[in-house]
Amino acid sequence: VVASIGGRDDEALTVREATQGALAEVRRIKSLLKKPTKAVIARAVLPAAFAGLQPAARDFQAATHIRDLQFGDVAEAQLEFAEEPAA
Amino acid sequence: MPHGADETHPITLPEKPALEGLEEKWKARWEQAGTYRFDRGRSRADVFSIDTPPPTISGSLHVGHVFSYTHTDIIARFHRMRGKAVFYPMGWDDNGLPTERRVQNYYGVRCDPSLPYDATFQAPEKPGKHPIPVSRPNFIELCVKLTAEDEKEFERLWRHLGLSVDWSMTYATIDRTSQRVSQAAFLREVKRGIVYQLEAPTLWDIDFRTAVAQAELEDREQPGAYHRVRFAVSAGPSASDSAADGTRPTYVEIETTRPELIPACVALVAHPDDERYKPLFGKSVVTPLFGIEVPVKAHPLADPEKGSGIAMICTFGDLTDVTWWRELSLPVRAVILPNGAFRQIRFGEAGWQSRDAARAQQLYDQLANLQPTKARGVIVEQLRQSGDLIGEPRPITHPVKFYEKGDRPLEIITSRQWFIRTVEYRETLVARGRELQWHPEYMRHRYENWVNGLAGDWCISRQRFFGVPFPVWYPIRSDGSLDYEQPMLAQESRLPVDPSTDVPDGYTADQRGKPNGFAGDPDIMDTWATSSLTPQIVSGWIDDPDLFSRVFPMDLRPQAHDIIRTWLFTTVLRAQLEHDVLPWSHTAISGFITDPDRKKMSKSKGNVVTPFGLLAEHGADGVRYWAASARPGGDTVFDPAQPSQMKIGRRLAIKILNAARFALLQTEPRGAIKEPLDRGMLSALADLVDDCTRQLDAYEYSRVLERTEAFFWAFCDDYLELVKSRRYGDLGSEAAASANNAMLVALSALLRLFAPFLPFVTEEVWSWWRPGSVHAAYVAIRRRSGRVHRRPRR
Repeated sequence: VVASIGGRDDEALTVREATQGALAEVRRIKSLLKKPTKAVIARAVLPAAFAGLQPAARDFQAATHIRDLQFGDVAEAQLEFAEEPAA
Repeated sequence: MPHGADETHPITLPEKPALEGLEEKWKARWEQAGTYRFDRGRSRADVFSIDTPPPTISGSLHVGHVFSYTHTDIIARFHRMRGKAVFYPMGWDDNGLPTERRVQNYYGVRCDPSLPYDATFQAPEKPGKHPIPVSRPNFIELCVKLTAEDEKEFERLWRHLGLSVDWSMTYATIDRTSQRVSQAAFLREVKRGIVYQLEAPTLWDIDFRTAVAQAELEDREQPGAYHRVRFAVSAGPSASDSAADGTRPTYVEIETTRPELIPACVALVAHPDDERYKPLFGKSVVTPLFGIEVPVKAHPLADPEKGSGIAMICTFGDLTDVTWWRELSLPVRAVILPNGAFRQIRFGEAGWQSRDAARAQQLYDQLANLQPTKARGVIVEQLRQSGDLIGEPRPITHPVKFYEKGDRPLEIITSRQWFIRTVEYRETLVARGRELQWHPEYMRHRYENWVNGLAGDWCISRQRFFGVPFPVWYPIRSDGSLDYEQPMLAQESRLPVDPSTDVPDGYTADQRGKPNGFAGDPDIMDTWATSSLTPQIVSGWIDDPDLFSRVFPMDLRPQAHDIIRTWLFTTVLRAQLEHDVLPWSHTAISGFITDPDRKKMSKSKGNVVTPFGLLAEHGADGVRYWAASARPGGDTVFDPAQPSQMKIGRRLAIKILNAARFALLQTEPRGAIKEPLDRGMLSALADLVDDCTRQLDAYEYSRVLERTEAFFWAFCDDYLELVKSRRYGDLGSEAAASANNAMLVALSALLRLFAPFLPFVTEEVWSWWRPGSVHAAYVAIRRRSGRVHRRPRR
């Protein structure tokens, strides 16, 4: 397995860990707010602890439907959901 | 080319993947392709050899079998995938008492070893009212015939479960090879003085009418009673008698739970430091009722705190009696016959001199032919009437020794038996146990406790019929008696022999049973005497030295914890005696499956859950998942009403099908794995592979399953979600190529990690996109990369 990437990549492991942690956090909040998993987030401010995901930000934003991603001094993720289209 | 991606093999995905039918499909293909065939061209260093437990064929197939055999199969598959040639034969344990009883009832026959073999004998279709006597070879033929059906059923189960056994290598503990090996080991050990024959006190089951070994005993709590009985000191045979000088007798009181053995009393014994009895040491007392003079002896095993502090030594009430009898050089005064009944005795004859022979005879005649329990009632009444019973019997509950398959307490009778020396090897065997790698380690203590507690040499002869005969004959003297001092041993080249039909060298068949002729040894070997040689039997010790050099000493003995003192111990012993080595380097000890009340599943308890229904409902992978979830050595409760682990296992197998199909739907473009998330996932996966390898090397299969499963769910729920849009090209072709390639590498690795646990679903998915079998995948990958050595030609 490790040969396929030319050796163990510790930096990438950090990215993965941060990305999975952030994904879980966003899912938790969406679930708490009873938002559908595909609900679009116009702006998200994640705790700085998740900043390690930045090299995978495009994957993360695509999977979480976040348009604007920032990191800041917040205790938990701050999510601003986009307007839901009228029925 | 990166691992996992194989551009030469087309991807063929089913429309609707399903688990149904996978067992039938793959077990047939594996058999056809020889996927699990042992490659005997490999050297010992490249072989992983397993001394598979031969299941008891006459037993009931139950879910416990599936449990422990799955654990072994996981280890076998792991080593095969690491490139080892796995030697994984399967045996059937078909000799022994359970089979004998089944055959007797099924065919309505009984074995009479004195009869000659009848080649024309046909068993009746239905058993008659009276059992038909048949020769031992005829009886064994019937046993083999009946067990062949059972073996087929076991094989069907094992194949359905996906055991990766080489089915071209099966054996039975009664087959010719097993007999040949057992007899050869016996002969070699006789010649080296390790095996000897002795007429000695032997633990005896009166229903099976056979000797049993220490390892086959179990203590059961039984109701009983202490009887306080008085013995006259230098006086007449009963309380009313006076001493010869006219003085009233004095008495000493003992307490016993077996007053019926008073006629078998040969001495009283007390502790050497017991001031109460010191004055009696060296003097005689007289047994109540029977008037036999017996000495009072001192021995440190006498417990001053037990009862009155002085005990009766009988030949033989228990194993302590045997110790006292041996160490104090006492005579034998046996009263119990092999069928448990009290034998006829003539008082006044040698060894039975009584102060009042007529009275002793009259009282004893009331005991003759009775079984011990009835005799106890009679003698208690006699003691009461004679005034020798002090007070009333005091009820107690106490542990009594039983043969593990028996219904009545064991007796100890004197008989001629074969023994293997064990006690003198105690320290060596403890040291061997410490060399052996135990999984889990704490099971070693059971072994050591057993070895340290060995009380006598191993009695290996049984007075039964279905087993390996001793390859021995005895000359018959001119007076018709057998000369046990000059046993005639079979030549090893003739083995196996059955002395009840084969003739010793230098004799003719018509000399059998006649003065100046010969008689065959009528006994068979203890079933453990054969099973203790399973490593030698499967490895070709006698007949295939080439195979033997490639697989022995073996790598692994898997087995249950209840037979550490029997199978494991005796196998270590025989390998020590014969080869001066450990028979294997590892032993993996599995726990029991219990019912919800935590009782071990067994036919006799009526709590057996048969596995075929579970396999049909949850699939072999689901059932294997349940088995693999248990930690090594631990007992596991199974409630057939709530098979939740099997359901989880089945769901996991379905998820593997669906996730793999989803992943394989989109595999292009492919390219270098550059994206951090892909590289991070694969780095974590590489760590998992390393960890799983270490854990499987340590036989911690349940942890491997748990961690692989956790990674897999994260892979499906997180990684595949995170890279979904990239794979579809939303972030460009290069980014998509990285994701697709990483996904394929991960899928390949995950399938291989799951393969030892879930062989069917992983093989099915592997077949959609990869050549060959996932169960040989590691070898295939290494070979393609040019790092595997060519296997030598057969």
